[in-house]
Amino acid sequence: MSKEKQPLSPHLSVYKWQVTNTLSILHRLSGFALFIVGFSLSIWILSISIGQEMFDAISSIFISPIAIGLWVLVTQAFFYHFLNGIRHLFWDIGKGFETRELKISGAIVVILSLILTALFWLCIFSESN
Amino acid sequence: MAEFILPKNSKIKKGNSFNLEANVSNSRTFIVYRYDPDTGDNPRLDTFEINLDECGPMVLDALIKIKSDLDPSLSFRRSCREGICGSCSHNINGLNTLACTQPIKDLDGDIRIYPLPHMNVVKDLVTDLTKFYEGYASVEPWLKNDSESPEGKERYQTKEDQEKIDKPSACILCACCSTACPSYWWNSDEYLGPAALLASYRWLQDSRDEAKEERLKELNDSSKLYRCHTIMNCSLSCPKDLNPGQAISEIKKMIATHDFDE
Repeated sequence: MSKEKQPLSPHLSVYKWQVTNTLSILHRLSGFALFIVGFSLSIWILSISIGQEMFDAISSIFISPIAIGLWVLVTQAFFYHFLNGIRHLFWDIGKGFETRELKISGAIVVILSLILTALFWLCIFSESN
Repeated sequence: MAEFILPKNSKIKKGNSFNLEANVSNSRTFIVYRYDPDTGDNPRLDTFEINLDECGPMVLDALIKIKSDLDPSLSFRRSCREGICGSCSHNINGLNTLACTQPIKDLDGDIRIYPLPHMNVVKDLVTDLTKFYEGYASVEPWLKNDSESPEGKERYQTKEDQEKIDKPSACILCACCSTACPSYWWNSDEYLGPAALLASYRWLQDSRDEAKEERLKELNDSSKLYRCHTIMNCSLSCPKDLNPGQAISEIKKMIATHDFDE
């Protein structure tokens, strides 16, 4: 019997989403999202060099209500990626590997990133009013 | 490139159902992955209803009962039924663990039993572990020491030195950790996986082993070791309560701080 004919057992579709694999994939997704956002921001800045009209046009897209909603997600991604990065630094020095610590540090990162995002936008909105 | 969707020949179809005839109060449904290499048909999920009053307490007891009473063609690996041989590792309700040490009563709802994830299936719940064992062999899991042992006796070590290797030595090579690791799923050709790296760590920590530098040089490779991204599914799945993820981190630290001779 050839090995090619053997089926592959199911993996992603059956494995339980635990704190470990869920936060790991979110770290990658938020990192990728922030990379894209970095590009978008540089386009906004570059538009200044083209002229006032181009800057106004791009600005109107970037501060439209839908874009503001996306910016909230972006800051959430930023704070999550930042805090989870610190969690990774602790692992790099060999700390926080017990099962209980893995779950607690994951919960802290998620909750703290939500709080920081909320505080950030509270400051923005209270400034602009 | 990682493939997230199962190939065509691995898509799972609906299978047969074996229901209890009488209405039994203490019954449980087991959904079991089946694949028959003789027909070559796609894998299917068979459903077995079991009267728990006539069945032992563990998931392995249920598998044995299915095989003896309902469908003798069901294939699965098992031997010691007490968590020391590492044969009956399966994906049970989404988590890799040993069927023999997993109580049925600790599981919610219908119990889904799949083979270890992202492995080639030989038959039903039996997977091809060749590559897993090759990874283990590649870390050369034996004592390397060319110096004479003292006066022809065994090589002594302190109690503390022994304690460092007590836990990593308790690995039973059930493959629960490696097949719980998404990085091992997509990179098993080159990444050694948590079980093999834990074995390597066991020898790196051994005070009697003299090949530390050689072992570290071998592991200092972007694929073999550093495909570990500290996802940590491995340590959560270990049925022996070991911590392969921490061992990998310790190996990374050893490489970062070791003074290699050029």
